[in-house]
Amino acid sequence: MVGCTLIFSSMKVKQTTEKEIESLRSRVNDLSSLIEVSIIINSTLDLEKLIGLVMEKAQSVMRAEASSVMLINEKTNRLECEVALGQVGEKVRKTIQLAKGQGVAGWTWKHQEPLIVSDVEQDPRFYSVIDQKSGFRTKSILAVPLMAKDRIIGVAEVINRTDGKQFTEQDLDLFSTFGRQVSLAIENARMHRMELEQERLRQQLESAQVIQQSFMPEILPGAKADRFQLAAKNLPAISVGGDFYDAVELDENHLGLLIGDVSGKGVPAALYMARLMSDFRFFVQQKNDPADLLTKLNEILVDRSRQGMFVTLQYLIVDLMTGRVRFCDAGHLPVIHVSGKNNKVRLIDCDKGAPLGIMKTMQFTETDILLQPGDYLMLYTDGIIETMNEKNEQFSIHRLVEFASQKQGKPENIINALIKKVMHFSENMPQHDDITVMVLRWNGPLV
Amino acid sequence: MSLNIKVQTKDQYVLLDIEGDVDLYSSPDVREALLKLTKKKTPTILVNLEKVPYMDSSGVATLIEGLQQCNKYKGKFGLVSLRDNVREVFELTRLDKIFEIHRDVNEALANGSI
Repeated sequence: MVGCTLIFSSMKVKQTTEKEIESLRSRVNDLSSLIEVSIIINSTLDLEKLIGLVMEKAQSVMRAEASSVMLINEKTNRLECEVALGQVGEKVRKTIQLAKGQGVAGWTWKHQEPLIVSDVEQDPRFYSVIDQKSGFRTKSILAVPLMAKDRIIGVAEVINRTDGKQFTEQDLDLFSTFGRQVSLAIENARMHRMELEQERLRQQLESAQVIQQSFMPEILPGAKADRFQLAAKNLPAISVGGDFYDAVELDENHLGLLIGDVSGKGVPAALYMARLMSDFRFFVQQKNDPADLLTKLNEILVDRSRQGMFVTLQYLIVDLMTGRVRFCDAGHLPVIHVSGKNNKVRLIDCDKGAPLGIMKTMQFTETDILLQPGDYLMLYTDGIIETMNEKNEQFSIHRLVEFASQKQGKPENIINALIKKVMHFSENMPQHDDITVMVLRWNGPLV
Repeated sequence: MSLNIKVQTKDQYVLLDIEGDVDLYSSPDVREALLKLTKKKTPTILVNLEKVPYMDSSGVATLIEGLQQCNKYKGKFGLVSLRDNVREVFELTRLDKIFEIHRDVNEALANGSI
């Protein structure tokens, strides 16, 4: 009798040990699957392919007949099927669209909690239409929310255990872990897509900058002329800005100079400027009066006015024989005139008009300057004088005048020295506005 | 600095109080508030800039758009209580030729321009 009891006990122990070993083996399998899933996640950034691979693994580990991943479409506010595996997977994938709270997946979305439905026929949350359309027979469902940080992005489901048993709490834990992996994969892929998009935008901005810069003359007139020297520089604050300049030889004795600043920054300002530059090139040969040209440009700009955009600018016609400069100003900054003889600086006071592009009725009055041989003219935009330093001080017109009174030489060298000075002033502060400078030196009439 | 916009409807005018810097980033909020008023064809709009320490050209463009919209239905549009540095920007660029600029609401009312 004692012997029988011993045999029975040892059988019981053996059975228990086998159960434990089986359970441990199953846990090891689960863990291996999860490790495989992390390898899959790092293998590709193709979202659909990735989710498909992870769900294939999940479906096999969970011993399920079918599985799906539905993601929330924020535009339509519906759950849409991203991946559906199983006999009718492809058919179902194209038809599922669930509102918040609709069906088991919709419930999981609404409550952001995992859910086991052991018998769908007994559960009012089950949405039978999908089965009716696909011909599939759903018996039980395990659904988990897909969370990215604190935000729900979708729902993953496994349907019907292949062994006919019901989903357990242990299944729920394991599938939740799969869900976390899927969420991570989706977030990674989305981040990657966003980075690609940002890179594409950056490249587009770079192209825009190249196009914008191409509107400004690469070689200025007068590079070989004896009567004058001319240089200009434009430094946009962000890839594309609204500052611009141009210089045109109107005839052998007249030079047209333009500098300006479009309101705002970025692509809208650059497009506005590009159209303005082409209008300027078109009309500059027809209008030999600065006021007429500004009136014409103003009319065109008012007609196509958008969002209040406007432009301040100056247009000057320099007579290279006499040194007489006729110019008009539309809300721009005072022209700086430096005497070549004694470095005396004069801010040209003129009857300034309002910026262009606002009202058609604006009048522009011409102002004259008479240059002496060796004199300089400096044209600039507000980016120079409004450059800030760490003490919150502006470079200001006073520093610019002081600089102009101390510097002579080639216009190109003057501009380089000025930009160096402005950059030194602002030190580590970011450049807030475009910086543009143009310097003309009139040497006198041809001998 | 964040931007605050308050709209006050008075007997003779609507006052738009702006508080904060008006620049490339904040001007869309001002634009939205102004366009709401011009869409309703508000007969007189006064923009109070007393609490605007800084305005860039995007901000100015927003006010210009408001003025242009207002002009379309023959409404009146004025700026009041500009700080010195903001007033300087308007004067330097000759935008004072475009806008009705007043020291304060009382001056705008007394002036009869609104």
